[in-house]
Amino acid sequence: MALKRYHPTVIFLYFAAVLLVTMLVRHPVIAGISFLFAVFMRWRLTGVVKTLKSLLYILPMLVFITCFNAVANDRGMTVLFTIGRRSFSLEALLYGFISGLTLLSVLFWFSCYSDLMDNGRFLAMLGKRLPVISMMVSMIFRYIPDTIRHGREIDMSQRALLGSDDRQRKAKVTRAVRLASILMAWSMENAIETADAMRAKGYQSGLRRPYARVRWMQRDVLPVLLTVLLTCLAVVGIAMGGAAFLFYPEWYVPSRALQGGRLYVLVCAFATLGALPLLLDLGEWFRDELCLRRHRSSDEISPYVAAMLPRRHDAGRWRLASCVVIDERKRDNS
Amino acid sequence: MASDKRSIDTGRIIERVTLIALPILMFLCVYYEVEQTALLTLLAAILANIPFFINFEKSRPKPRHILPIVVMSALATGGRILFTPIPHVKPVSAIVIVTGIAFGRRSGYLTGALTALASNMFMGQGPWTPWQMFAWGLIGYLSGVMESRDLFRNRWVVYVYGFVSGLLFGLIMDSWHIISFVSPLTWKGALTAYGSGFFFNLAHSFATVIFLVPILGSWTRKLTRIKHKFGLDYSGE
Repeated sequence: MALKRYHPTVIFLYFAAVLLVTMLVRHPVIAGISFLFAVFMRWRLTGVVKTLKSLLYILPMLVFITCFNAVANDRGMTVLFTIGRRSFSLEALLYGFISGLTLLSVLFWFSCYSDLMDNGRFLAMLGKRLPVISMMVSMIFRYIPDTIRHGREIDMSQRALLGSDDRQRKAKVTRAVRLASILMAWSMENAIETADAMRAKGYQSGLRRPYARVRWMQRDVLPVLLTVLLTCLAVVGIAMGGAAFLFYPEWYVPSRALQGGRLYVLVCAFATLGALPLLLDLGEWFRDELCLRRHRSSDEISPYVAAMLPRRHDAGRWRLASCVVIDERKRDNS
Repeated sequence: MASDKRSIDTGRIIERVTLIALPILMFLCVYYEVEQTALLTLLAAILANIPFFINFEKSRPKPRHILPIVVMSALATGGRILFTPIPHVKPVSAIVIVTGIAFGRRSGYLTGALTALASNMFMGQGPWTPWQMFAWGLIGYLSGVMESRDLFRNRWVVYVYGFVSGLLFGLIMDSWHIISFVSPLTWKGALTAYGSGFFFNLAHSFATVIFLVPILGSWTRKLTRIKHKFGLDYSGE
């Protein structure tokens, strides 16, 4: 997915925009579009099996929210059926279904975000505004394997000193508690030493650079502009009443939503926003194709040119020396 | 010295206002049946963490202030990952409470919030992240406040606080789903929704107390000793 190679701010902004529009309104069409694109994106990122698995895992939640809303409130004119003294209306079920769909899309978008943005890049972005906090998070990461190693060491020496007595549950618990306590004190003393070392080495005396190499490039401008433009269009559409949809007492679309095609503008803008990663992929593929076509006429591609060529999925079509280079790049990227 | 105290107090007031503002906003959203409740409250939860982070950044903390928080968060994160197989049983709240007692309210808040942020990088980020950051931060903050008010003299008070904190955590975590995705919200509906999650929260509460019992005395003593040994100063907290 092309979006992965863009600047983290681009990725962050894109997901913030999609989530903003998704959560701003409770509208069947918007919820549906959001859900479809979220599932589609997850499918492209993780494959069919994983997507189906998470769908299977998450669908009961949709059923639960739908039913719960129908049980919890009795507004709505169209009564579908009655159980005991409670009546279940179409509107309450519909509202529950739409809000459940919104929640599911939010969850899916979030998991897509986690797939696209690795922790290093997130911390690099966070480090711009909150340098100390981002350093602390990366230090927590660094301390976890350290702590595990220390824990093993303590465990071994405790066993050697006191003998291992695993038969009794009580002894086991006591040992675990003692281990945790020793581990805490040891880590803390080590940490204070680290702190002094940091000070001695001149912490805060200069700039800190993130681990991930993050650089703003020219190609990052276009997706940002598109995201901002489409989001503004969608939000204006919503503000003008394009997303008006009444659930209770009887669902209908008010005329102000359709006036001047507001709803259509909103839907088009949001659908384009949802398809933006796909469009970026297409754009990249198109550029690749042009680039390759330019070189296809010559019999021999110099390895330097080949190395610069964007990777192709069907590189095997050209039986040239450069294909090896391309194949290697493909392997590196996958 | 007096003016120094004053400047710390403004930061403290901002922090307290944020802590109270979030529940008030949630209540108002429910009361007026705002359509954008999901978005508004999520944004508010993210923003609620910001004053603490900014205040901490602004104080230009020394490494000796930073590292204890990092270690406690790392221990809590490790504990959370270790106990993933058993849902709702995690030592995070207990460790955050002990940190609040030993290192004060701000360290308590930061430990809670950073544990949530870091551990979710392993377990998966979601709309729950800012809420967990807020909830655990609040637990640490309140524990620091209680300690400074001298309410934690009796260890049983801490255990009771640990128990209540588990329920508080559950209340905060469940609220977002309930207030933003059930509409119109009636008292009965809300009670049913909270009730359906009650036993999980109860499990969390009991787990917190069970973790607190062995670590409270020994960890607090050790942390106090380390504070004295290295001359760590937390008077500004």
